[in-house]
Amino acid sequence: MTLNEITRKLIRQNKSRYILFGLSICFAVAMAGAYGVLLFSRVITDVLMTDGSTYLISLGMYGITMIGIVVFLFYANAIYIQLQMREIGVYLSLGLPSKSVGKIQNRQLDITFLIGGAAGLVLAVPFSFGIWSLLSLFISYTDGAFRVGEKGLLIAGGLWILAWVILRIRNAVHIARLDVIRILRSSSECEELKAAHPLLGIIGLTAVPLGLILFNITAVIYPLKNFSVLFLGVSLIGMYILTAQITSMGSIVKRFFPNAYRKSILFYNLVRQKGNQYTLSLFVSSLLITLTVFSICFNGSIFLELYYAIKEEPYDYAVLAGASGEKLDENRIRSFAEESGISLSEWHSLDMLLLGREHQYMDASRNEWSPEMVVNVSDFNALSGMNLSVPDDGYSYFQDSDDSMFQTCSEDRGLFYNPCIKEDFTLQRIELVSKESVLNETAKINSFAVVSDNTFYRISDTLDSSYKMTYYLFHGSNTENSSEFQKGLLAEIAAINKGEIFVSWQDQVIKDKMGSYEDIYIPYDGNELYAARWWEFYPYAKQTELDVQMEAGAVYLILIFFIAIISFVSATMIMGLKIAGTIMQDTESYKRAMYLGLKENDLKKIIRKQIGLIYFFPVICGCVTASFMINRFMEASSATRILEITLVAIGLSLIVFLIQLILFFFLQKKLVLSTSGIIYESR
Amino acid sequence: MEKILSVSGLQKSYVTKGNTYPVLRGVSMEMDRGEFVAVMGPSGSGKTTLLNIVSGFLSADSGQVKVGSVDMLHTGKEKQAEIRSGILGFIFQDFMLIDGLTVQENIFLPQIIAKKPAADMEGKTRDLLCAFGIEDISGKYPGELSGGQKQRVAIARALSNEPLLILADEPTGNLDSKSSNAVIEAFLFAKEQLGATVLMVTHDAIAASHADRVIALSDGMVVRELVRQKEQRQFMNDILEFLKIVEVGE
Repeated sequence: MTLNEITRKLIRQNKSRYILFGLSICFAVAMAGAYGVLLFSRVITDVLMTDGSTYLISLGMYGITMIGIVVFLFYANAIYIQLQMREIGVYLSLGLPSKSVGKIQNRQLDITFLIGGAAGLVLAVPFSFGIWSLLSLFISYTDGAFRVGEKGLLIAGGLWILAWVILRIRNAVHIARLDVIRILRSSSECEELKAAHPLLGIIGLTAVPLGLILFNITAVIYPLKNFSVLFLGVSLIGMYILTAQITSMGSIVKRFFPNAYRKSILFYNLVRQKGNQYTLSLFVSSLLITLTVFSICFNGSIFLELYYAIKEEPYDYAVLAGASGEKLDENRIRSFAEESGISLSEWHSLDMLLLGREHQYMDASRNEWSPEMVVNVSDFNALSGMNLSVPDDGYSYFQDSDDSMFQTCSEDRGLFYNPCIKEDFTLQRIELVSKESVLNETAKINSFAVVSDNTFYRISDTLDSSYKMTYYLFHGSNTENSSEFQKGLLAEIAAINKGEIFVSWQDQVIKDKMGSYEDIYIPYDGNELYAARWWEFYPYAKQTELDVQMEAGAVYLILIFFIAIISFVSATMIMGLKIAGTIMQDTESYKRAMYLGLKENDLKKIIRKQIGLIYFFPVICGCVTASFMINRFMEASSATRILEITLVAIGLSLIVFLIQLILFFFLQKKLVLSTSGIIYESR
Repeated sequence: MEKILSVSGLQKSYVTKGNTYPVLRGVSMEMDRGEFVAVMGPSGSGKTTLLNIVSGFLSADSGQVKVGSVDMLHTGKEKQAEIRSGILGFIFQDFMLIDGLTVQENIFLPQIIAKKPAADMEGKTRDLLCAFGIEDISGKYPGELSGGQKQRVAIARALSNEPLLILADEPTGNLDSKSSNAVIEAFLFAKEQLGATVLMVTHDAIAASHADRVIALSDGMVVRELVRQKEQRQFMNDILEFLKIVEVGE
């Protein structure tokens, strides 16, 4: 018999521990991969704009959840190594050098990681497909074909390799530094927190809400806006300090409630001894639970706000019609409406020109050209009910908004570009005009330059038809037929554009000003959702817009739910593994207490309290922080439905709490019974 | 007689929260080949620390420890591991058998680590199984054995490499009186039939009364040495008498 044979036999004999560890690795890699595959899949990036805030938030969540998954793997590894410790101790005591013991252990770790991680990567794709199939139920504007986001697999693979390498090194160093006597005598670890002080706990407790309040205040004060994120850091540090100090809570109880302290002296001391061990698990799981609740509510709120914004738009329909080719004019639009049984009212039209305009800044190197819509003042006054006056050598800039602060930092000379005669010309900026409910804010066109009628027609005469449009805004009866009417319009627009979307339509006006430009056309078929979200000529119908936005919202929310569930499960598993490790570690202390006369029921109470602390501190800390945080974020982002969203956050927190409560009862029952059984039956 | 263990002037202190606590204060002792020595003393007297230093698990502040001709205090970690597998055998209170291996495989293990030839290994293990009367349980796993059987397996495992010295840490600590007797008989068998040298740390006066000598430690110093010249019962009375003095003295 050789050492290799012994090792192989031990793997066979202890397969449950390898399977458990392997499953943990498999879960971690599969979850990281499945979410990544979906997040970077084209079907999702089509729904979520890749540079949009929603997408960035989902990326951020992915990043933080990856940290949670790594921490979860660390705890799974700690439990695995704890189970291996007896063998390691025997090997070392029998004279096997620690390097050789480390090699044996790392070989086992390699096999477990290889199989678990590879299985995780393989499972990531079908798992992702399963989630995509669920998402597809909410999607009607895309072709629905599932595509693998390879980047997600690469990230999951990277996480797998990284965790593997780190844990390999960690275990080798741990074995090299092992205190053999401690293993052989089954001594428990004692890692009391250095610099433990109740005052620090109070500072941490205060810093969490204070940081969020200061974030809220500074986020809306323009000069301080850039610093507001630092206050989120203050909250985060506060949460860490509070977590680190929670283990020294016995000192506060001892000072103010000495009787209560004496009653639970063993519990407080067992907790205090594990200061260093508890901090990371409690902090990471608190953070993950905060993230779970916050991300769902924050992203839900974006779409709730959008929903109400669309509902309150002034016009039921908005159609941009190009002047070139077969024109979609008022008569044709009315005939489509009639076909759908819709009668139109409150008809408005704006003639528009597409020009180039240089956006100018104090730092001239940042100046850039961009396309600009231009309308004449008569059309604008008729639409807005305003009485704007613009001289022939000037322009005013209009935005459908209540924010009168917009563009005040611009040093605009009003340098325009005419792409047909290839000439720059200057118009003096007169004023910035903002007013709500003039246009549909959520439609593609909600801002433009307003020039005098003379200037407008003078420029118009020099432009060819591809730079001239008319924008129609109107109401319609029978909203239930809205979709049919819109489809008719869309089919007509698609036909006029020969079934293609001219993606770079706006940019073509400044192609002479751009370093590189090319005409980009994509087929309409297969890019329906892209068209619905980004194509300027896509006819706007309030009812359909609601559907499109809610569809994107549903996809996004389910995606967020998915990562939130991974985050939540990771937090729960971190807590579960920490509890299992703690109870295992405390068995000796429980035995000693038993010899001193501790009754079985009292022991059960102590174990239950320890489990309760590890389980409910992150849940309560995470849920309260998230609910308060969402409230402050909504306040800072001038949201209109703050109360509703805060109530949703509280409701969601209660659901999280309830789930954890059920899990707690199940876990504590199992652990309390098995631990007291081990201790009292070993007498 | 050949000196197997020689300890002289051994000092060891622990530093906790800035305070220094001396555990061993100049301990000296010697053991000859084939001797069975028990180390006794109250809790905190330094018994286990002495054992851990002799086995190379713990370093000392000063003094000398020689096992055979090997200086344990001035040997590197790798070398110490080699020494442990070659000339030392261990018996622990918790038996420290590997649950996933059979009795026979547990006894194989030290020989495998010491890279003994397979044929020698088989023969040696068979001899030990027979000698300790555990050949009928050789295919069983530790979980299926009684405490006494486990400890006999642990002793057989400790003897499998024919070590110069066997170190036993409270070997009867977790056992009932019947199993304790079986363990002591196993030690005596190892000493008498196999010529083993045994250093045993114990609180158990009955177990110690079977030893050739009892070294009494108190406050990190050797306070007395009892040599067995009389009947076992009388020797045990001497030990109990001595323990009483130490307790009262404390």
